[in-house]
Amino acid sequence: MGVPPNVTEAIFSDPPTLTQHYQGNGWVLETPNASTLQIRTASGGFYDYGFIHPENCVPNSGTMATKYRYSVNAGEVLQAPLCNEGSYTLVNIWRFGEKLVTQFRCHRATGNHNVCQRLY
Amino acid sequence: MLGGRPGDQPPRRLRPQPPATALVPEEVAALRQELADLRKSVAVTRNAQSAPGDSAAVAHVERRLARLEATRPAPGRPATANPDAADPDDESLVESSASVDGPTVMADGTPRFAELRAADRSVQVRQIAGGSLVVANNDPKLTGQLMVVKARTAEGDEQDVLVTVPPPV
Repeated sequence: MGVPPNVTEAIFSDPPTLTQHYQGNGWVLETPNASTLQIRTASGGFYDYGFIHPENCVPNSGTMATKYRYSVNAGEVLQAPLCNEGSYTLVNIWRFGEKLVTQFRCHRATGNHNVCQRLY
Repeated sequence: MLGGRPGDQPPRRLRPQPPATALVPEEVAALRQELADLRKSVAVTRNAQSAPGDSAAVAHVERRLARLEATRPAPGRPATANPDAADPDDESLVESSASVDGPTVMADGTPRFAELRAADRSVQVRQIAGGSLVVANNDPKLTGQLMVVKARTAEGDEQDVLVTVPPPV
């Protein structure tokens, strides 16, 4: 069994800039600020995107929600939130025809910082 | 203190205010109705107050009511179109995605802060739309450090928040 990759970190200066966590095959996982993640289609194809994220940001809320879509056009985006420090969001991406689903778990690290780790 | 870019003037930022203009009679009537509603709301809320956090909310409504009453038009006199613009020192007018009467908790669960003061003067912190923070740093030695920031809401509630110091830009 392989070792999971290290986390990637996005630390936001002022003004915040769109920061890339991971470049996939025709898509990217990126973050415009510490409380938002997004998957963006970079080139045409057929992609399934999904997030599992906190439904709301009430502290220690036990409810998660989902956001999902398919995408075929470059520039299409799916976004999901992170709440305060400690909250986390799960990310799934699959490109039609590929053998593996790419998965990430992302945490809000501090007020201006989030991290994502690819699971494999 | 709300942060700006290094070298900026004092970083407290006020949202641009619309110009004050005279109200038409219909607007005066609407303002009077709003005053009556607010008075009733304050009285009811004060009587029903139970949680400690309620007092801050009541105080906020009471301040707004006082501003509205101060700008209520006397007979034959025009009033300020935006009563909230009458108090430029009101710290609830800091730059934020939320309106003065908007939520006191941002989308990510963070309170809407009126002031953010970092432990080191080389670091300025600002809250952006959605509630997350952005940080300007002009000391390379601080890069990567976890830093405590004293945060205060417009209602005066204080708490410590954490930021990660980015490299100077």
